[in-house]
Formats: sequence, C-alpha cells, structure tokens
Amino acid sequence: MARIDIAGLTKSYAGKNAARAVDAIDLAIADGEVMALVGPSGCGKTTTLQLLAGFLKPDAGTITVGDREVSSAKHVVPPERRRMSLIFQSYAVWPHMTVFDNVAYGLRVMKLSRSEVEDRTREVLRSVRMTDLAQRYPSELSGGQQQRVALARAVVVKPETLLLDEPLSNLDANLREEMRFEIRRIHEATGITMVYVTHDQTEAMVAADRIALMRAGKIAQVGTAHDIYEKPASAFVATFVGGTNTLPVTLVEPHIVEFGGARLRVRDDFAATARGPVTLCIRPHAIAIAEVNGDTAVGYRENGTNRIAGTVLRQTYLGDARDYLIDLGGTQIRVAAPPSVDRTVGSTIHLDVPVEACRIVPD
Amino acid sequence: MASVTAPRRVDRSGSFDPGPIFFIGAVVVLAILVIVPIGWLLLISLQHVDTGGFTFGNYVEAFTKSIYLRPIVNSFMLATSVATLAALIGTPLAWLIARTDMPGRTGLRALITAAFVTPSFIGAEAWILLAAPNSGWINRTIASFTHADHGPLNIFSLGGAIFVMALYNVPYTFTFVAGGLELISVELEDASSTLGASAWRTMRSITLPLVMPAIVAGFIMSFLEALAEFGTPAFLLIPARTQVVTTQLYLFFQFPVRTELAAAYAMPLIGVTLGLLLLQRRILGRRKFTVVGGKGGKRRLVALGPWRWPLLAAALAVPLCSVILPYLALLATSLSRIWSQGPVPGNITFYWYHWALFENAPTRLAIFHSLWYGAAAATIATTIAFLIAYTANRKLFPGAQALGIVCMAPFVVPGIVLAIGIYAAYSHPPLLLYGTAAILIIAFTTRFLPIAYSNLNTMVAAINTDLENAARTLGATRLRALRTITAPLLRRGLLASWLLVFIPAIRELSSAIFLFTPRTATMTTQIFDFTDAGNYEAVATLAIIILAITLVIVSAAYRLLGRDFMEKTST
Repeated sequence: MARIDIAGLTKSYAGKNAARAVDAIDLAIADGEVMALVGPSGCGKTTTLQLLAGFLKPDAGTITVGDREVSSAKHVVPPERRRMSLIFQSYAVWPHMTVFDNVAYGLRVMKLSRSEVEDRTREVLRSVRMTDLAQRYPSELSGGQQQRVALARAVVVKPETLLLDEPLSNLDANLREEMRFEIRRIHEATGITMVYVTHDQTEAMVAADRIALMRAGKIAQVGTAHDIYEKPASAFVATFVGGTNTLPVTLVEPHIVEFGGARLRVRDDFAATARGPVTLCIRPHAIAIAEVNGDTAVGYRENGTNRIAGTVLRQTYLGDARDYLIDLGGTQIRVAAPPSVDRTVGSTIHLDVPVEACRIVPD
Repeated sequence: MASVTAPRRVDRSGSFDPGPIFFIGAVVVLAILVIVPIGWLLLISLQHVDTGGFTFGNYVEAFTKSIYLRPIVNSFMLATSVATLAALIGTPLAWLIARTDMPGRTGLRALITAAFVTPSFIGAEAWILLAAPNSGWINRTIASFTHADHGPLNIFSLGGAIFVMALYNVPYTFTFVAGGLELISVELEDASSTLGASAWRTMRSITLPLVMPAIVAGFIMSFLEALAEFGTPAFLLIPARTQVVTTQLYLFFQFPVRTELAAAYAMPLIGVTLGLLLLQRRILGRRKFTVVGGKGGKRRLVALGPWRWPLLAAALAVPLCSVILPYLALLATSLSRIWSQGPVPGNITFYWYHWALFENAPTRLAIFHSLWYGAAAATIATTIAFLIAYTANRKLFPGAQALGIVCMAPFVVPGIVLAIGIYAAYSHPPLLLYGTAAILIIAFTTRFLPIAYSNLNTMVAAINTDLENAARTLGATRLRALRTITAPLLRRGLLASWLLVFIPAIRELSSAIFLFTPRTATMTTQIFDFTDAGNYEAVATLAIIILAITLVIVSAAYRLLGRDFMEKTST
C-alpha cells in the first residue's frame, strides 16, 4: 500500500552554490520496509527526507507513493495530505500543549469524534508507557519522554509512512537503546513503511532492513547491512561502514594486484578487467601480525593469505585490543591486534591477510 | 536502481486550502498601508497643482522662498539643541543610576520611565501652566517675591521648546547609555586601574569611549524625534510666531491648502531620517562587537561617598521638571474650577472630569475614538506584522524577505509627513476616506506597524520550524498550523506588539491633526483645539486621562512582559 518510488529526484538550493543537494537519485522502498538513509553530514539525506515529507519541491524527478504521484517539479502534494508522519531530531513537541493534547492533535485535525480521539490517544499513550504523564507539559518531561510523545503523536494518526530524522541523536546512550527498541516494536506492531535518516551506521544497521548510503547528493550503495559491509561498492562505502584501510594498488591480472613489489591475490566482487590502478580495502581487524620465524617472503602464499611487510609507527594499548599504526612504504594502515601481541615502535613486522579480506573496489 | 514505474496518477485531491489568500491578503493590505501613501506623497510633490503635469516647481518654491527656509534653519537648531541637551543630561544620569551607589536609584529609574511614556506635547501643555509669561505658576510665584509685572520665564520661545523637548528626550540617551554601561565588564575598568590610572582617567579613557556609540545613538534618536515633533512646537512656537518644518507643514494645510508644496517640503525629512537611522544602526552594530564578552561578572558600584546626596538632588532635578512638576500642574489644573486661581479651597472640584467623561458629548466621544482607533490600529498592525513576518521568515514565495523592508519603511517617515501622504492618497475618489474613522485607523496602523513588525519578526525567526512542520505532517494546513501552533507559542509577543502599538496610538497627535474632522476627533486633537481656545482646565483633564490610561497599560504590560518591554519602542 505504501510502496515508495523515488525516480531521478533532484534538488539544489538557490543562492548557496550551484551544487545539487540531491542529485538524480533513484530509490525503491517496499511496503513495510524500514529503509535507512545514511551518510556524512551534507550528503543530502535530510534534504531527501524533506522532499519525501513534501516540505520541499524537487527541481526534477518524482516521488510516488503506491500509485499516487506526490512530488514532481510541477506539483507537490502538501505535507498535510501525504499521510506521512515525521519524527523530528528536535522532537518538536509543542510546549504550549499537554502530552495528551500533543498526541490528540492529529486526530482532532481529522475531525474524529471526541470519544474516538480520547480512546485512540489513551491507547497509544499506554503503548508508549506515558499514560500517567498525559496531563504534563513537555517542559516537565525528560528528553526520552518527549521523544516518546513525538513517537506517539506520529503513529496515532495511522500514517502510511513514518519518516524519522535523526530521532535518537539528542538522546544519551541508554535512552537511545530503549528508543531503538520502541521504534522497532512499533514497526512490528503496525508494519508501517519507515524511512530513517541517521549519520550513525550502527543505528542504521540495527534499525533498518536495508540501508541507502548517500554521498554528495548521490546514493553510493543500497543493500542490507550485510551486503554493504561485506560487498562495499566503493572505498567510501567501506570506509564509512565499519572503517577500512585503503591501499593504492595496480591490477595486473584478474584477482592479482601489485603493491610495493609484492603480488597479492584479492577478491573482486565487481569483476574489474581493466589493468591499472584500483583501491584495495582491508579492514583493520582482518589483519594478523605474523610470527615470521625467518620466512620473510612477501606476497600471496599457498595457505590462502597475503603477506606484506611494514614498520610500526605507533601502538596504543586499548584493553581489549592493541591499535597499531603501520607504515607500508609510504602508505599507512591500522591494525587491530590482540592485546597480547606487543611489538616495539620502529620494528619491522610482517602482516598476514586472508584473501577473502582483501577486496578491490573501483576507484 | 531504477524504480518500477507503477501506474500512477497525479494527486490533486483534497480540500481547498484558503491559506494563500490570507498571505496574499496581508501583502495587499501592506501595500495599501505603506506603499500607496508614500507613493502618493512622492507623486504629488512632482505634480503641477493645476495641470497635473510633471514639475520640479514645488521643490523650487519650497526651498527657495525665505519664509520657507527659515523654518528649516529653526528645525535644525531646535533638533541639535534638544539632542545635545538630552545627551548632556542623560549620560551622567545613566552613569549615576547604573554604576554608582547613589540612593534612590530604583525610584529614579521609574520616574525616567514615566517621562519616557509621557508625550512631550503634554509636557509642553504642563509647562505652559508653569511658565507662561504672565499666568504661569512659577512666574507668578517669582513675581510675587520680586514685585515685578511678570515672571522671568517665557515658555513660548525657541528656548522654551528646546527645554521641554530635551526633558522628554533624556530617556533615549539614558536608556542607551545605561544599557551600554551595564554591558561593560568591571574587568575592563580594573585593567586600567591596575595600570595606575586614577578613577577619573579610567572613566575618561575606558568607560566613556566604550559607551560613546550609545551616546551617539541616543543623540541621533533625540535629534530625529525633535525634528519630527509637531505638538510641542505647535503649542510653544506658533504663539511665538517662530515656525519649524512641522508647524510650517501644518500651515500649508490652512486655507489655502497647498498639499503639493507640503509634499515637496516634507521630502528632506524622510531623507534625513533614513540617513541618520542607517548611521545609528551602524554605530549600534559596532557597539555590540566592542562589548562582546562583557556580560559576565557582578558589577561593582562606584562609591560616591559624601557626594551621594548632593548628586541625588541634582539627578532629581530632571524628573522634577519632566514628571513631578508637570503632573502636579496638570492635576491641580484639572481639579480647579478656574486654573489661574490655583488649587485653593473653594476652587477645587471634580467638575472637569465629570464634564469630560459625562457632560460634554465631544470629549466623551473623543475618548471613545482614541481607544477604538488605537485598538483597531493595534489589532490590524499586529495581524499584518505577524502574517508578514511569517511570510518573510518562511520565504513563502521568492523575494518574500523584501516585505520586511516595506513593513519597516514607515519608520523613516515622520508622522506628520505620513499623514500628508495618507491625506493625498485617500481624500479623493476612488478611495474617499477623509472624514472617516478608517483614515485615522490607517494612519495609526501604518505609523506604528514597524514597532509591531520588528518585535514579531525576531520572535517568528526564533521559533523552530519543526514545531509547525510537525503539525503539517499530522494533517494541519499551513493556516491551521499558524493558528494552533505558531500564534499560541507567540501569544506574549503578539500581546506585547499589540500594546506597543496601542500605547503610542492613543497619544498620537502629529498624524491625527491632518486627518481628523469634528466627527472623528480624538483626545489629542481635542487637546489641540482646547489649547487653541485657551481652555486649559479641559486640556489638563484630558491630559491626565491619557496619562492615566497610559500608565495603567504600561504598568500592566511591565508586570506581564518584563522590564525591557518599553525599550523595544526605540529600536
């Protein structure tokens, strides 16, 4: 019922600069799906959400909900007629109304009968455990309670879509956990389509069915958390999700790259054929500091690992791990080693990386 | 990632949204209020009175005839003297009250506020009672000692007008300078003291330069007020046959009416006002920069030692002249059957209050008119200012921010000049409003619209748009969100704006004087007419009624809205 199709959506802000805040993005969100829009600040995720909510008019492209075209460069259905509720980063709980009146607002706009307003408001307040605080004013509530009011207010009108704009970023760590659960629970209870904007990749991985990773107004990759983590489409994706080391290498033949004179075997999810420079991504925890026992040969080894040599620049003891910064002849990488592996700064070491952990991505 | 193109229809369903009509309506009203009168003023100043053709003749006549040039010289003399005097009195007064341990500071502050809300033309009336050459009480008291024919003071003179207007302009410099002094951190002065500077040297080289922008800003404000003031010159200078620009404008409206000449003659006032206000804004803008970081820390008061009481006596002289003596004179006169006999037993009566409030239909009607025009103007100005502030802040259409400038435009047009424009625009078909209540309401609304706008603009800007957007996503139209979310959140600001327009509107004389007819007289125009007729008991009674209404509203507003409420009128 509330499948959302975004096609060629483009928006630039006048004045500032000519750069497009949202640049011809395509995205299909299935009915009942939770889609996270993730990316660094300024990537266009909030603009996309504002376009979805109908607060902005696109320069080009369309947004279609079900079979209803709600946004195009010609016509925008105003926010009040889109059946989308929005949860704001600032909560936007109205300070001049009680909790009850805040939640009942949307129902009263719908001109429901007094008893129906009363019943539905009570019910949703019970579900977010705010019944006792119904007559309080927002200034008398904690941040977490205010966010629960915002959530209740958004879902009580039974919207087709729930949009969430950084809903947890103003909460402290344990409240964040609780709210994440609350949002998930509402999704399970209602099956509502959700679009969830966040800059926090962990939050996106926990909350969403799929993630759309955005960068500079474009979608860098869409997929499940697993897809994005395991098969990053670019060095940006790999760096943003989970963090990675990137090494400039040269593809010399399929699955074989050259780095600092050593030939390494790599995974290639994108079947690169063109010889030449590519980027090699290796996650810090996939790298082991090897016990060499005199065997200092570098490159691909028959046991399925690649070996490279480097110099310890710095190491920091972190309790559960040791964080190494290692110089590989001009390129620096980080290695998360077990705390027991203690190598002195300045010493030459060898690193083993399984072939599956070495991925090349298009530049 | 191409989306599957489902069969789609463009959604244009839903109820009709009347929102745009409101916002467009507000823009139209704004144009009627501001652009039409100012446009007409410009137009008729360039129009030949008989042929209607384009001419610079009106300007040539207005600025070459010596009888018209003399008032311009007088106006600048008056304004410069008033502003200088007000700054010279206001600055030390501000220092005494803001930075020293002089006793009675709170009371003095209250008295200065009372002077602030007292229209200077009422002060002028009071000083006529006190210092008219023959009948003034001070003159008669002095004469009874010296056995002279008449006392030494003559309030009907340029000096008299300067004195009265300076008294009521002291609060401007005072407010600016006291505000500046309160922002200066004591550390800045301590830094000077620790380097061995004497208290006097610290004051001269640190404190005074830091508040200099505030003094200049106060000076400019007083200068502009004095330039645009009509009532006081009309009461004190017309009898002395000394004209200033505003009284000359008034004379242009006596038979034979020379509207086109008045329009040309008024133009430089707008130019001077605009230029000086821009200058003041720059000066104040820089001042904010200067005292950045000067907010912290408790201020240490300067100990005056044995000078405390003498300085208090000197400071008290100011409110004595601007509030205590005038109020007493007005009160005594309003309670006297015949004012020249003074408040002695047998002469004391409530007759004039009974007369004004019950017996005499014209005054009764005038009181009603003042309140009703004031209330209507306050309501319209607040509504328009709110809708325009909203439209401009939310950028409802391209270029909406320019509407703010239109709202603020009347600020640079002196009341008397605005009245000429309104008269010119609405005294002939298709909009024949002269003689109706509407023309006075339009005048008051336009004149005080900038106060409401500047107040509401900052408040609308401060509201997080998320609060409105939340209502929109829940199904409320823009107008409903405005009504149920934005307006209630701003209710104090709306109330403050209403009062900030209502208070000056009920005491407005300069624009009313051109636009009223006997059927639409207000308290202020009645005061003007009674002054002409020499009926000072009636003048005093109406003045006391205006002051009483004002003081009640201002004190209620203070309680409701806080101490800095009135200061907004000057920004």
